[in-house]
Amino acid sequence: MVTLAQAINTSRQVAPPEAFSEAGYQLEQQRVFRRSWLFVGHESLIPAKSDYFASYMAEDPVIVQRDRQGEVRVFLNRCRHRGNALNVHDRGNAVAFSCSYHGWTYSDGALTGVPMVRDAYRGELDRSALALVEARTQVYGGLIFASWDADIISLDEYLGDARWWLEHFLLRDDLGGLQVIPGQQRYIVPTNWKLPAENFAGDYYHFAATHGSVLTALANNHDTRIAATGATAKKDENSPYFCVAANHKRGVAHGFYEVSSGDAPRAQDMAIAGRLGAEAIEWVHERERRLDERLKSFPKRPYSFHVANIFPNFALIGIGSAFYGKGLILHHPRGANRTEAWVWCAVEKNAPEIVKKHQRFVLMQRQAAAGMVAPDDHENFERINETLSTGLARELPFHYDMAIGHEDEDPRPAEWCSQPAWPGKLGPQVSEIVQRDFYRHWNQMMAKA
Amino acid sequence: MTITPELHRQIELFLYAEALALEDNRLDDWLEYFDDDVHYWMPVRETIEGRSEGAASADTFSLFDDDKSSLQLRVLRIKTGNAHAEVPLSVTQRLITNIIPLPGAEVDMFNVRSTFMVYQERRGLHGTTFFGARQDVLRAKTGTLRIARRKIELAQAVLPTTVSIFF
Repeated sequence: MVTLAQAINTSRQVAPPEAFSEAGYQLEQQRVFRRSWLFVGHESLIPAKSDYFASYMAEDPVIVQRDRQGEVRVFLNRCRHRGNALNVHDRGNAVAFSCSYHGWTYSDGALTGVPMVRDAYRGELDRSALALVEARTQVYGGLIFASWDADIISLDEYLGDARWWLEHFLLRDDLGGLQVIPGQQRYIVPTNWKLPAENFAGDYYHFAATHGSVLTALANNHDTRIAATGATAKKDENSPYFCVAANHKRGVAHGFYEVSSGDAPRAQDMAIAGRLGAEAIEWVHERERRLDERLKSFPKRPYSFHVANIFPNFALIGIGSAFYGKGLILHHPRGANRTEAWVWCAVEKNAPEIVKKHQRFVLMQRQAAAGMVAPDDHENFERINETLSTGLARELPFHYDMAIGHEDEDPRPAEWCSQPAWPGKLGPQVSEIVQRDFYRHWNQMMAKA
Repeated sequence: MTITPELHRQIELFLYAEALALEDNRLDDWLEYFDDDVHYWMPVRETIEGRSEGAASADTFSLFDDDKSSLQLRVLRIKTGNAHAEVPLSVTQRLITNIIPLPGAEVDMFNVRSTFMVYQERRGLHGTTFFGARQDVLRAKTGTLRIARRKIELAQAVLPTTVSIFF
């Protein structure tokens, strides 16, 4: 028997229970989300000047727009007069936004029109001081990041080790980069945003118990279109899998997992290419040839990572296979017990149509709002949420102690240990190193007034 | 082909029986309501200003964009008894209404619009309601109706939950 007091005393406070409380939620809006670089969407959604889409930075609604000079800019969607929302569409093209309340009009963020400005305001209104509130914005390989913190470190420094992983395995600019296809999925997840975030950061452990039904169904069915991608890859001892904690113990905590290596994942993609035809085979060969060339200083290189979380709330899935649509996922905080998930499907821009179609299909059938993977995660989060903020249960911290103290062990096969190390802290595939690092960074941000 | 009152009634009863198969969680029976070449499609709802390109066009990222084979796989997964979002199976109540059948592109094909409310209850704790409309193409092959196309348009842009049920 264990009493609550004993249970509390024997659990390391990696994520203190207050992290999931309403008070913690309010504080992290200020200390985490106001001081981080936040992903808001992808540049391919706004190819033309004056194109825009609606997004959020945590709870704050923003307009992400390519201005008339072609620059991507991010504005708070709030009229400076009475705070009315200016934009009410999901996306579109608009040279100006006009407020539906009193008619103040903004163009590229500048206040350009105020009804009765001479008569009612006596010509005394300083319009230049009443531009839309604008976030610091940086486009990185098509990914648009924004921050409210004017003094935040550069995005390069913020990403740190994560850049090597993103540039080689997700962005692949030399192959044409990514293209987000229209159709944005949005759904409510009834739990605190940190639970899905830490899951995408490093929780391969959950796959077998949570998603076993997918494997069982695939094993008993002739339709293999969504099989053999990412987590269902055949694993052999020459193709070990890992996790990676970027900026481990020192910086912003980003996590990557299902970091594959060896011949198995490549062979698996070649097999899918074979089923799709000559165009797909040629494309995937070229894709691999270019990456081999770029990474020739790494004789044992990762094939890819599959799942990731960029701190705080930008998750990625589907990166581990050439034939899986890349899910760009935002977990918008909506209260201590509520998250709004957004899923965009990115495909590789220069891939043949048949490949793009396959990528889209796989993501939709798997980690998407009505897929065969995400709803079971959702169910677990809902079950956790039932005691996340209830009477006694909320005092009991979660357990994050897997292999604690073994972080310095090199999980690579012995004969690889003389090889150049990959950026970041490498851990075993099943690990909680990344989750501990996620909360290490979160706690640091929360402690800073 | 003219939609006679008898045919109108037959189509209504067909859709009610199909909804009942889902309420009863007789998922294999439910699959029988679809033709082998069915396209089962649920696009996302987006509000777009200034351009005609809508998310509801083909080649977009949809919620369902399925054929018979992928629907079978979805059913097979739920039937493992280990698909947590459907453990225990959801209780659903379905109001299928405003059924308007019109003649289709070919003889023995009908374009049928219907409106639905689907209440989903999870474990006696969480209740969710989906609202939407469907545009079906029904085919009367050898006297038996089958669904050849189904487009499902949810009213909700932000889904109240992930989707582990069918519509």
